[in-house]
Amino acid sequence: MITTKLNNLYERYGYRQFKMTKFEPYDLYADNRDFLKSNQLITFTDLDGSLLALKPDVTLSIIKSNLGGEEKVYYNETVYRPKNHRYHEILQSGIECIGKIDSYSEAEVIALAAKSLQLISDKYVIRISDAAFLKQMFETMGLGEKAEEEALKLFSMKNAAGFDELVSKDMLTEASAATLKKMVDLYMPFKEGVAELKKYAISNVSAMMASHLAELAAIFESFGVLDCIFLDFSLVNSMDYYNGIMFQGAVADIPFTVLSGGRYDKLPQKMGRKVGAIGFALYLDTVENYLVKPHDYDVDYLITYDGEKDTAAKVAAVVETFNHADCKVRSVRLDELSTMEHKIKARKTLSLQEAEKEAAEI
Amino acid sequence: MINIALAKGRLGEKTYSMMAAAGFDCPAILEKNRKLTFENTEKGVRYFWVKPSDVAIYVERGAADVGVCGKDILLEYEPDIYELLDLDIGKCRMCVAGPQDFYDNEERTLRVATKFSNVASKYYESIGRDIDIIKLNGSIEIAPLLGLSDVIFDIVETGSTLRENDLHVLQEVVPVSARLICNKVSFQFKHEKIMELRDGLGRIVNSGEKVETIKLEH
Repeated sequence: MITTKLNNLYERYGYRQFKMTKFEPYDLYADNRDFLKSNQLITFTDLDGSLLALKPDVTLSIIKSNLGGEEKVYYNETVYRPKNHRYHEILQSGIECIGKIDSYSEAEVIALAAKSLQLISDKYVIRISDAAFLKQMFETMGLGEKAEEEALKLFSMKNAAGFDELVSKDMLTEASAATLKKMVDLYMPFKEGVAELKKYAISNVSAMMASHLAELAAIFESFGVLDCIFLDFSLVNSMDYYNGIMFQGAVADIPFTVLSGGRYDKLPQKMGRKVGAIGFALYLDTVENYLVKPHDYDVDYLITYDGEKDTAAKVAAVVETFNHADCKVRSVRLDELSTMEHKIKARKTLSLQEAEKEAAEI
Repeated sequence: MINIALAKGRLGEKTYSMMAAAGFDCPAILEKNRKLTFENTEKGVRYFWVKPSDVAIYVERGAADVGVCGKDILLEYEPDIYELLDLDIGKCRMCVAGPQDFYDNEERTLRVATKFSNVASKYYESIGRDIDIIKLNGSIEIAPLLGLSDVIFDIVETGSTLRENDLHVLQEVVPVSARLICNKVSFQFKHEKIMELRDGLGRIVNSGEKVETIKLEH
């Protein structure tokens, strides 16, 4: 249901469906380990002895198939990844926009992320962070590799107090700590947040990045999604993968992030394509686990019959009547009712006589 | 409405007392009854008691929006949550302890008994010491006495349990205190209320005023 709606949304913005093969050569993943969430893959040998892998990711395949042209695609695929120490089949949906990524393309992808969440719940939030902005801040502040790693961890936990510890360990100056503490605390509607962010821009480069974010805010407004977008620098995981804007989405009633994406120019460049890329993935399995309401009943009517020779035709007639009235019917021999493999939850359990009476009223 | 997980025991009582002082009191929690959750709809809070080591799990999975738990638990389980405030209570230290005359012979693998296998592994890895972790769930102090381990890696509050067993702190690894933690999605959807709670608690912590601990049944 939800996938149809999502596909429809992406097609309205001109995205083409990307269908991928079930298996990819193992080398594709081995060569691009840095761009995978996990190094663990389900691998097996093909009949000719070559090593294959079940796809753990769709983005790599999309970039591989792109030869350097501009492209907008969407996909619904199952990927195979470890989760809680076991392999799982995970349903994923998402879009990728490849080419010369300008402000419009960036904003369109994020707007589509917002509109995807809109289809799931009317209460949703997209949070945006800028990996390049943070990197630039750290660089200007002269943070060492270790300090940068610690600082990122503090950002991801919104642990402002932790910066004082870094100061006491001489890994950070007090002035820098004061700025970073304020940035950790920053969680604001995007437009206001970006205005605030301009105060923290401590170099020309970061000032330019802040203006770029301001430009995006204006485009979000035209797309009609600005209200649900927030600026939040606690989004720092996968900083190696993303090289610019990165974002995550959540909806009320699901306690986990359901969507994540960002700008990842490094991957196409590594594969030798002279293009940029931005995209996102939506974790449909999490969404479905939380939001698909279970049915109250398996069937409307459970009809029991005794199996005497003249009853079969009567059962058939009743089943047909109910079926025409758009009801779900399950019939079972009375002597097998108690040994059914799966207990059935029915709105009404009727004997054949009772069912005939009920059918007559329809 | 925000759901707050309290750790059973003194830490939970202290936490509730501070939250009440910050304006998030809940009279229902003082009553003697068999209820499991306590609500104050006017203040928009619902409290419940859970095992201290489970607080982070409730918060990470969103059953509680916020909770208070020790930094030791956060270091051990590394839950994906926000750590909004250091409450400066429940203070202790994570230490390596052993017999006073303990000599670490680096030719042997060091046997370490602990509840905190993750933190201990990381610590010894950082100093490049090869160890054998012995994961225990309680009475850690007995391990070196019976020759089960060479040292223990545990939290130390006053050190009296160590002294009684003739053990001594050999190395302090990390200071521990209670932290206000928050579910990452709740932070977005209940932002105002959660910040109100954090700032209220923050004022109490910064002012240094002593909040009287309220005794609670749980």
